[in-house]
Amino acid sequence: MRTTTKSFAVAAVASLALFTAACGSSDSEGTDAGATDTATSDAPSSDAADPAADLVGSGCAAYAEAVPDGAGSVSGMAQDPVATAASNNPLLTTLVKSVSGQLNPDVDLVDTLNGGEFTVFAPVDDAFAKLPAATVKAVSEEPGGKTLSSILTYHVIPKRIAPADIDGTFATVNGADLTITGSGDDIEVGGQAKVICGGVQTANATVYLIDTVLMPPAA
Amino acid sequence: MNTSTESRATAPWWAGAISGFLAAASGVAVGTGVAALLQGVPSPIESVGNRAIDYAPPFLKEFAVKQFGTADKPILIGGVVATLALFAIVAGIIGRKKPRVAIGAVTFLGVLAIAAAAIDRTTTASRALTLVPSVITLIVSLAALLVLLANLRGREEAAAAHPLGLGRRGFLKASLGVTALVVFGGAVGQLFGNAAAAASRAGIRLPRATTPAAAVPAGAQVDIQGVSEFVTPNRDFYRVDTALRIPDVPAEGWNLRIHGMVDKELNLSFRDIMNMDLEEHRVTLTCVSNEVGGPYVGNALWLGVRVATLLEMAGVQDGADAIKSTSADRWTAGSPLETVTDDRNAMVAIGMNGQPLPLAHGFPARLVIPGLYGFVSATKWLTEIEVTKFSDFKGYWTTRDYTALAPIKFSSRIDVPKSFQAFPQDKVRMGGVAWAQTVGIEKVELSIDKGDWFEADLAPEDTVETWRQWSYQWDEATAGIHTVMIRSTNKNGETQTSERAPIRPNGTTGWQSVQFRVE
Repeated sequence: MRTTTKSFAVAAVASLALFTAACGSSDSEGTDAGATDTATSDAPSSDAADPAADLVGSGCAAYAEAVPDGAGSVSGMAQDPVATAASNNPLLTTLVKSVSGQLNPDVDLVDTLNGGEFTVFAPVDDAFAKLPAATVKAVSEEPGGKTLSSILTYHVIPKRIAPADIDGTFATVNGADLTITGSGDDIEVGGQAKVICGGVQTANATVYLIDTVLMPPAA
Repeated sequence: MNTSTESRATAPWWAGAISGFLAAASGVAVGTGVAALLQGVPSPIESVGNRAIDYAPPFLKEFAVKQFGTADKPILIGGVVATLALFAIVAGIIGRKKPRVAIGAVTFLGVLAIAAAAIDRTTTASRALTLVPSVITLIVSLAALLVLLANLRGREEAAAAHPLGLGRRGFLKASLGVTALVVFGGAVGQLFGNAAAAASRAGIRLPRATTPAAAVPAGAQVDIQGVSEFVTPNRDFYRVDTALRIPDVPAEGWNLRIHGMVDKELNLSFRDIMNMDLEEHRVTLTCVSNEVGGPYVGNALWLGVRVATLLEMAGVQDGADAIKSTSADRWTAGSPLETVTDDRNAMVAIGMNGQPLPLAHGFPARLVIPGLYGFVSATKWLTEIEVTKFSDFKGYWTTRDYTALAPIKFSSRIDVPKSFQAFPQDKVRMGGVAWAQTVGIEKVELSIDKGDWFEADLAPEDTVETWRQWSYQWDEATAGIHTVMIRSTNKNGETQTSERAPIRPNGTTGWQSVQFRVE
């Protein structure tokens, strides 16, 4: 009986693979012989098919409950570039204000974040609420623009990193290194923040919601 | 040895699942193989996918508008396949006990595919021929299901009589036989899809242009790493269209019909076009879906015949104000008549950068109209030009919340710095492109850290129909984080608006900004 089962399994797997190949490739097979002109490299990754597949973090369930559908949900965010996606997420209103020129008119990162591939550590509103009022006031005033930019860019790594590969030290776009430790439901960022829910896909960035705003090392 | 309970038990669920799955897979694979052999006929999965696109609810369309031409097509095909597979597996599991339900379910799927094929606008073959793959899919799926289910039942009966299970072997044989069918159909589909157009394209030698394009002026390409190539190579040219499968249109047998409000209808073969006076022009195309700072802009050298020449041959009648162009897969676009009769270089193009059009870019012929977004002008796999009135028709996207008229909104882009790029302090060199097709770019201005606007260095202009590059070296760069913003002014003296407009209904506006770092 075992042999038979195995044969069935092999047949099933083999036919599944062929079936997928026969149907899935019809879109691209005409592009051989000097005709390989598909879209640009900015094409969203195909794993957008199941944006929830790769999520880690104890807060994912709460996030899914708070934002079950629409543009700010896990599946909704997968369709937009990261700054646009974040602007639709009700947990990230302060972050969105701070990257779009609404906190400090001199700091508008929307186009910059929407162009390129990134990993973004996105502090939720509660994280910003923990900051001393004086800090928020300082970065919202004109001389504070540089400080705000420096803080925000410390949250961005210039490539996409999946939860399985997140443990390590990476150069942020701020220039300073950021060390991430742990895996699954227990990921710590820069020794300062915990990941609430990570691996959230957007069209051009992988997002990790975190519970504390990261402060870059003094330059 | 076997207890009576075991002998009476129905076949296990997985055997039913395999039966259902293999039945659907064999039907689809053979249908797809047959479609690949028939010229211009979409496969059953494609037909269902095309229906899904046309019936998609607004939020899905929005999604498609953002992403069409990129990954949405594999995702859509994947979705259709996954849904079908799941349905078939469930049908197979139920079919162990209730074969009629499974037969009904598979028949339902087959009829659905036939219905989708019957109204598939993307076919370029006759309607009867278009139905063949889905009818074959239905027949093969049903036959496979009947054989597999019969062997499953045989398995039970045989198991009762022969504990060693003759029927089990029968089912295994049937499964393998059906799997072989899947392999065969899949292989045929792989080998012959788009074969006709690819072979036709390989056999074409383009004639020289009677009016060749002048050489690209020296310096039109700025020497900064990361700035777009002035002439976009075919492999890098953006592709945005609604074709799930690239239409398979060989040049032999292709016909361009020019009709409608004309004195004399024209039917031109590919050879007719090749024998005409061909012109060569560089034209920068732009997609309406391009975000501020986005990638859907490309500049190529097009070889073709002027649309105006063709319309003169046909004789345009009074009262017409539009042309409606139609692709082999029945996509349509509407363009103002004046845009193909004034002095801009509107062409039926057969060559792109010195090669026959790549299949993905419209082989054997496409429309190129400088100054209009692609969705109202750049019809690929062109088969018809109808001279008509805007009041009498609407193009494909115009029926989907886009405007009927859509001239390109002139704009500019920062290619370098890339987002968050880091420069050494003594080498802060920036560059990019600006475009104002048919008008020309007069000025590109930059602002660093919200400072005063100043002019970037403009590279020499090729023509007003192409984009123009710019560069700037920031000598006073200070270490730290900076933001550069861009805007352009066209030769009519208009400056880009800072107002952000969305893609829909007729293209984005706004000043792009990029943050970077100096070390």
